Amino acid sequence: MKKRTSRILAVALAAVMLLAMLAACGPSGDTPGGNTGAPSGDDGEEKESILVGRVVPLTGSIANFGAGTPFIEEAAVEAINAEGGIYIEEYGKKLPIEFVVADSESNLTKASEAATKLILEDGVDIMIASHTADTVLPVAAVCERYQVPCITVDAPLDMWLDGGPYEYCYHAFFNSQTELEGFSAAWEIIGTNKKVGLLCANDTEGTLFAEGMTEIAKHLEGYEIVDPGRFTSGTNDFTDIINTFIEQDVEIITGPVITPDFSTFWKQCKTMGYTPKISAIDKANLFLSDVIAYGDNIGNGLLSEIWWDASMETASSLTGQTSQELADMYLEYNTDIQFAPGPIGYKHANVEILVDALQRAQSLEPEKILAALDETNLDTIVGHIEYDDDNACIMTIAIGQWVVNDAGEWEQHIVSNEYLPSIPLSGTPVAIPGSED
Amino acid sequence: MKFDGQTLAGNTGFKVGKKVLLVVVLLLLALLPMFPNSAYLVSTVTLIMIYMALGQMWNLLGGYAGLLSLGMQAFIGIGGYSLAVFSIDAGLNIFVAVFLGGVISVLFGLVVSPALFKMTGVYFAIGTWVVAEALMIFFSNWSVVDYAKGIMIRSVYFLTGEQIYYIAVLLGVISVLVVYLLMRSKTGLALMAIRDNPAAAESMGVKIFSTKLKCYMIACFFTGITGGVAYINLAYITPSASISTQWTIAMTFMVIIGGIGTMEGPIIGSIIYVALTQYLYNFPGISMTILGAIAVAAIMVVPNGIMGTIHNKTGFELLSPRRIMPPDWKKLLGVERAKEQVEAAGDKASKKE
Repeated sequence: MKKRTSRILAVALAAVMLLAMLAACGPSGDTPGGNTGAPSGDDGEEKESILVGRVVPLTGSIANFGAGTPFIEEAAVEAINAEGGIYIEEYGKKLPIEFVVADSESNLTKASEAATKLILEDGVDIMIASHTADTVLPVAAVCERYQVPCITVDAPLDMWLDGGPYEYCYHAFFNSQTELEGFSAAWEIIGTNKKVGLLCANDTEGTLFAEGMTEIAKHLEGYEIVDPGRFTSGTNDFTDIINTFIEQDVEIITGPVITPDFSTFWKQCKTMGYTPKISAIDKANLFLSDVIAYGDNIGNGLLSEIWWDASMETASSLTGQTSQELADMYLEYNTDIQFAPGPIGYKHANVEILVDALQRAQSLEPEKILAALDETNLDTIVGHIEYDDDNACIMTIAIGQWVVNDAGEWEQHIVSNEYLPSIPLSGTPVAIPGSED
Repeated sequence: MKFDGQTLAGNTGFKVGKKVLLVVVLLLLALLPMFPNSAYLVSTVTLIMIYMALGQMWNLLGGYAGLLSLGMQAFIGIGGYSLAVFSIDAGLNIFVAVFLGGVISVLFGLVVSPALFKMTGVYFAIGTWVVAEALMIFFSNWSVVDYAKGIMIRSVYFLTGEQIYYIAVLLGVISVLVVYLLMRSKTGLALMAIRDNPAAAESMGVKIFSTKLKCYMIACFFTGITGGVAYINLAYITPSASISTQWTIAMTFMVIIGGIGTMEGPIIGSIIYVALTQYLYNFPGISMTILGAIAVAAIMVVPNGIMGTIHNKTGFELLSPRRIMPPDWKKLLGVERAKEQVEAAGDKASKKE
């Protein structure tokens, strides 16, 4: 009896194992991203849409960047889809654009697995990805392997280029040089001893930023880099780094840091009585909610890079919306925030580049899409996009400063626009309160 | 008389039904890429095999040897970076690079084991974690691996999904086989004895350090190899992602849900883990919450894991490392003789009375 039971269980176990695998790998049904789960391409079924894979961090340490997806992307193609979509020659008809969203969980390995899933299960025709190197680079690697066209934005360009050369991927964003140029334009106005302390984590962006800044700073007159070494993201103790900055009389700190790390660092600076004149941190201070969350208004005076802003004098090639209108639309959707941050403009621009390429290619064949991307010459909501021989497009930045006004309300002043004049100035940079005591 | 694990194991063997089942599963695995529209299934089973190999090694340490390691990600990083550095910078064949990753993992394990094996239980767990974190920081500041910049492993781009699948299947099957054979050997018996009662095991002649070391080296080697195969699949590596606690979380999840200390636990656990994570990509934003809730529920409902619970209730095991006593075990152990002696002694005593 026992033998029989064991055999039945063995068969049941095998059946369950197989069913579990098949269930997980079969059509996945409707998703928040609008995925129908139907693989596209050559499965014999009639093609109903252009499937666009979208890997984005919706949870985890950089989830703030992912906020707004898929609302922004779907709003961007709403009008085109209402007219039937984009004409695709192979199918002899217009096909609407459909986004299939996958969460990278702010994790590099998950981003890679998610991209693989989008390509192999959902059969996406093309991929778009954005929001830091931890999302963009693993997705680019997967797309190169599976030979799927991939359009990315929002990860420092030199970091993306470091993984090249690319055949299937195209990228647009600022690089270390344009970032330093943007920041240093603001530093010059404030006036400092030109000692720049690097605050860089031992991750991809931190390592490349430190190298890039050290090299570029050699060509900037009078600036001296103080590099206390890399820290491990998630650390609770920045004592050594802060002591180095104090000892070396550092008046400017800069580096690409995620918000949780900068929060720990900045609070510890306050505890140790150290206030530099300028904090020009990349990534951490893009979002007002994060700056407020530091508490006690200690975020007052922080500089942040501005890649796109509601005041930017640009308009969408897709919807005709101005930057202000796009920002207003997002603020109406997300009532929890006061300012539409840079990632919103770049999410929209990512779709602009996608649609432009597909409209010119009129095809879902990778070679034709790549040929169209090569010829991209487009004015988007974030600026002009034209790829070079490395499939890269260098963007520039303006500099913003978070300020608490006399009424106790937070504002972001655009304090330097030397390299991105389409964003008008709205203030003059000032040293962080307390730094000159 | 020589009396060891091998002798006892000789009488177990597979039942016919189990053999048939295993053959069917292996056949399905071999034929899977030939099924139409199976690209995604192939990719998913590739992941299952990779995670299964990792789970088997973690289970070998945690489930059988009582070495609860939270630092096996160190060897994944070594394996992944060996692949990247040896195949790109040194121009070696990727399979040689993966093998070297296993060898370097063993060497690294040999270097750290004297210190680690001075610790037990939670101290060992923390010790292994610290070693992994230290290695991650070292890699982030080491020019040979290009610091923390990340490396696109272009040398693996030529492999197709099917080829990677077969590599992963081979790795998965070998990992199960290695653990199975090890557990049915004298070393396996010694390991379980150490896990259950180190003092008693030592008093019975088990050499604790060398037995643990042997087990740890096997786990290091195969985790290193698996790290290489994982990065053949991922094709992009950074220190923080390759030497990440996420891997250990996955291994722990798989083994605990599947059933710690069972051969089938990591197999079932890896299927559940990969299937769940893949399926939950369809629920962006809440996937981690769902995964966490499932883990908590599973631990509450089946605290011994799925296979542990099935075994406790039905006695069923597909790949049992347990030994069945041979029919003449009483003779082998001299039980009958002892019984006769006891009875004879009893008779003698009663006669005296």
